[in-house]
Amino acid sequence: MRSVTSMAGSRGHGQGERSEPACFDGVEASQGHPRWRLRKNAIGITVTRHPVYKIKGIRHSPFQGITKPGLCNVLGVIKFDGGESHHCVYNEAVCSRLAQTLHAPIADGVLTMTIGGPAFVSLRLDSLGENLPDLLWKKRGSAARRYPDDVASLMLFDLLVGNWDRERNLKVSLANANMHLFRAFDHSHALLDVFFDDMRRSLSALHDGELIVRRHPFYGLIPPQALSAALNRFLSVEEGMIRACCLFGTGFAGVSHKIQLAVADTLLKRRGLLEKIIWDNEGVINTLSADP
Amino acid sequence: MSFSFFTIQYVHDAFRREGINIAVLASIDGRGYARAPDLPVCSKLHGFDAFSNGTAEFRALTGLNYSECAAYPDLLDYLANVGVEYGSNDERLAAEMRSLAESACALVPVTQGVGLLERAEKAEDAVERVFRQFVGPIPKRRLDQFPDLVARVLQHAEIAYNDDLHVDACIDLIAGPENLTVSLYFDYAIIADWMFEGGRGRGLASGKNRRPNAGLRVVGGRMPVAKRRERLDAALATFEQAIRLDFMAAEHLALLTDAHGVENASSRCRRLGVRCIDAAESDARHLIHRVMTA
Repeated sequence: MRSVTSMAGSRGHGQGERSEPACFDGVEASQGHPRWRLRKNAIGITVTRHPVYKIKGIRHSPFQGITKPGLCNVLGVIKFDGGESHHCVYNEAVCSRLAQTLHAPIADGVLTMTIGGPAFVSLRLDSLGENLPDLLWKKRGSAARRYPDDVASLMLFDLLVGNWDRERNLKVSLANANMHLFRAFDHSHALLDVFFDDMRRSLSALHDGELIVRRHPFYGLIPPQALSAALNRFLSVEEGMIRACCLFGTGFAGVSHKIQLAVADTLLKRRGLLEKIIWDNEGVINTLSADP
Repeated sequence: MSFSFFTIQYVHDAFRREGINIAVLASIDGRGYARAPDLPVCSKLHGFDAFSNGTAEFRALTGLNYSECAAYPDLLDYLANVGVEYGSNDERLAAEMRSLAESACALVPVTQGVGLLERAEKAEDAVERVFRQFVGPIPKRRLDQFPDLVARVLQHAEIAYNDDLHVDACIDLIAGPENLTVSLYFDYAIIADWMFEGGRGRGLASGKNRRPNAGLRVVGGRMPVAKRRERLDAALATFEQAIRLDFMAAEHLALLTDAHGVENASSRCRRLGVRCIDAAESDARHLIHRVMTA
């Protein structure tokens, strides 16, 4: 096997002689590019744009498998029905599924069963070991400038599910040039609990295209193009997928199958009315909400 | 004159709930103040940039490493904004502290106290006094060892979280019909539009592969002289091969090293046309950014 050095030497390559693409034994690299492959690449510090969640501990792998799976504990915030939100678990579960379907920037969550019944666990956001404070109201302009697409998607999502209580329920990284983190949480006042203790009225308001969200941190701050792109994306999702987000196959967390079907129909109707809702309430949506 | 203040703890592990005092927010005579590691007593926000303050004092105080403190600039930004803006009103500051306590965050308000401004004492000095009382002096530790320097330079050069950044990249350059292989090793490489090998065999799958955009070798830190020389030689050999085989341009290659490395390798790098960058220099991040994102 010839050494590369001698090969290169035989071609007369040296400093300053780089006008020709690399040739190897008279065979030119295809299309002017040398052939190469990345053999090894350690999983390093590259971070994707999806948020990370805090792992409490990783146990030794008890399972067989090529990926060496193991057990671990992940930190989360557990939520139950009750208080101001009688259907909190159902609301949060549906909003979580919907957000994934519509690509809205909501913190991930999972359902679990406890002695007290079903519960929803919102996974605790963890930006490399630290949990940020909720976004300051005065920083919402900075958030909108840095994350225009996320902001548009979130506002539209809140309009869709009737989440009037967004306020500061957001974790956003603004000070770190290298970090992309924008995640919203808490939807206990959406869907069936838009109006406290009045499920029928909540569904009715959603179905009829009422604005519901009278104030929002990002009103008056969303570029029209971002809003338009988000709306197109929401409208392009298949009906069956939105319906599937609302149905659990049977009664769940105190919400009967019949009510789940009603939620699905309501959301599909409201999705179709989103553009009209925005248009009819332009004055509110295009004006900065007052400080809390 | 009396003034009110809050001390803030940093809780790294929510399960263990062990916190360490790190900041003081005070309201003195209708004006808000914030003091935290890497944030001298601050009473105005004009021109404030948490990111550029760094995390050296925070790391010294908490014992965390550089990557564990990546979100500290956001926490610092919050503390400065709340301390200065909300601190001008006692009730508003108290309400925000209640909200912070409920937000399940790494910052936890722990103490609400009342301090006394001594005669002829400035407000900033009073805040500093309270900070020293509750947080204590920032320990001296051997900060900015070479790995810390490298991590900081890459962060500040805004390539640390670049989606195209590959760490420990070993590139096999395949040559000729005999498929001779030249291995080029980079500690960090920017490779955009890289396609996985496979399907249609080795090498180019569809002609869309582009050569790596930039490559960086890192040699530095405490090590024997012979080992340092060996690693520098290996790095320069890599550069030489990449340039000689016309695989990468010299301006897209760099050696990130320390003062000893610069002393030993700068002339050879200059001959190759490759950058030799001292990680401790103030303009290191600009130079790295230029090389890696050209």
